Amino acid sequence: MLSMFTAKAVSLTINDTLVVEQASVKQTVLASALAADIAFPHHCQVGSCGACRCQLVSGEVKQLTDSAYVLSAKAIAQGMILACQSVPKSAVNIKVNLRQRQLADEPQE
Amino acid sequence: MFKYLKFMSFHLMALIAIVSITLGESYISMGFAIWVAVYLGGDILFGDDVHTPSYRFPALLTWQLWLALPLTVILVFVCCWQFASQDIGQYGAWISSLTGYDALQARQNTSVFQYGVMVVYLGLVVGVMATITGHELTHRTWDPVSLLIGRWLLAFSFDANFAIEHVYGHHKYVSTLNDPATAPRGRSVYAHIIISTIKGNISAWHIEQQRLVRKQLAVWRWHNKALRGYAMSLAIMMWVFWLAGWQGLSFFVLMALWAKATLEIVNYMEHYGLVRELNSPVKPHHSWNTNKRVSSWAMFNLTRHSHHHAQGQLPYHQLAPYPDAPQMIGGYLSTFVLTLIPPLWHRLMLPKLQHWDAHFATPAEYHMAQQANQKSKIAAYQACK
Ligand code: FES
Repeated sequence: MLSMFTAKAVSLTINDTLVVEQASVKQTVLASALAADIAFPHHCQVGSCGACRCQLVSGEVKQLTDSAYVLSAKAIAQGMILACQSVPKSAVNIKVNLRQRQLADEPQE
Repeated sequence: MFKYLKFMSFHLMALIAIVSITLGESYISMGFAIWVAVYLGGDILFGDDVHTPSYRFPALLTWQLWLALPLTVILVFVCCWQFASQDIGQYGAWISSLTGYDALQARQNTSVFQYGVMVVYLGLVVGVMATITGHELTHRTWDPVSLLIGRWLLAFSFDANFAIEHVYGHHKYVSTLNDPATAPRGRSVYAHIIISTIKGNISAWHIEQQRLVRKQLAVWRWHNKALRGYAMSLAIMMWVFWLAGWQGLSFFVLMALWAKATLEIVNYMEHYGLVRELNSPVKPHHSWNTNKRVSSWAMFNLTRHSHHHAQGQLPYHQLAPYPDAPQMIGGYLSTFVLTLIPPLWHRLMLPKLQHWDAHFATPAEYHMAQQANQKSKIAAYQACK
């Protein structure tokens, strides 16, 4: 019951490695990863470019913006999310290619 | 306490506008003069503010932004009242009984010249109070109330769809040729107002269309946010027409177009002549920044534009000043005035751009900048090496 009043923290796993034990549920996945010194790809941080896209393997996130502006229907169906626009609701496990990629204008359909 | 109050200057300025327009006659010009003096003179006199205080109650700052909507509605109402043939809502009678000032008589005496001033005046007020708060609020895509209030505020300058283009287009393409709102070297502000307005609207439509297609929703339905954006402006126009007929409506359309133009002029100042490779990260040097105190307070740190683009999701009170980023010529209003004289503007920006090319540009950007100089059609730019 008390957990309703204290902001809880959840674990963040990236590519099957536990990277943040206590990630804030008030911060985006991207922000927590960057704070843990992980070179998570990103550009715009407003959910417009798609550079931070990654796959949600398990767990639940709240999306701060409609990812359909950026991600194709197929990608969304495959569980792709935008790390800069996703706040964890439970422990999350994410798969991402950590090498910096050209993404913003890669054909997505 | 003051750290909260410093962002409330526009509320006070809005009250000055409401009072001066209610009083009519030459008070309208006086109110306008106060606005110009505060924003132009204030930046010259009061220097920079580079503090970034922390806030325990950021919700208060959000409420301050929301207040812009009722203030804008009141302002447009008062202007409509000035134009109407009847005493709408008995507003004039109410003012007279409250203060003893014969507002209705004054309204009769208000000259055509003052009406002209009112268009320019209110366009500026809407540009500051509605558009800039609208920009801040529509960035908060996770907060439906802020998003809705922000879009209504933008609808007062026919621009609710700025909420789509700005976040999902401009923030992605800023300082590249794909961005409607970034002016290439050599473009005049007047051309930019037209080009950016048209291309921005087209871009918003495409972005929204793509989203709907992906969600397998029909384009010509009410869930199309771009269509809804235009409907919002239409609703405001109907309200204005109902209040004050054709006269009021003509005033509103002129005012709203001018307010939209002020937004495009601000876009012009914020990224003029800057270049970036497509798909490279947006960095602080891809915006012209300023930390002028009065501009920053009045415009919720929109002035701290370098950080805004580098980390677009941050609420305004968390934006840092970045004194080492490329700096605009002056504060927002003074720079605004300079853009209006294109030959002077291009001349003043030349050393700024040269400095940018030499100190901020990456090797690839340096090369692009040289090409941009060649394409600028301005001899002095083309002569740069
Ligand atoms: S960083 Fe651009 S969408 Fe996340």
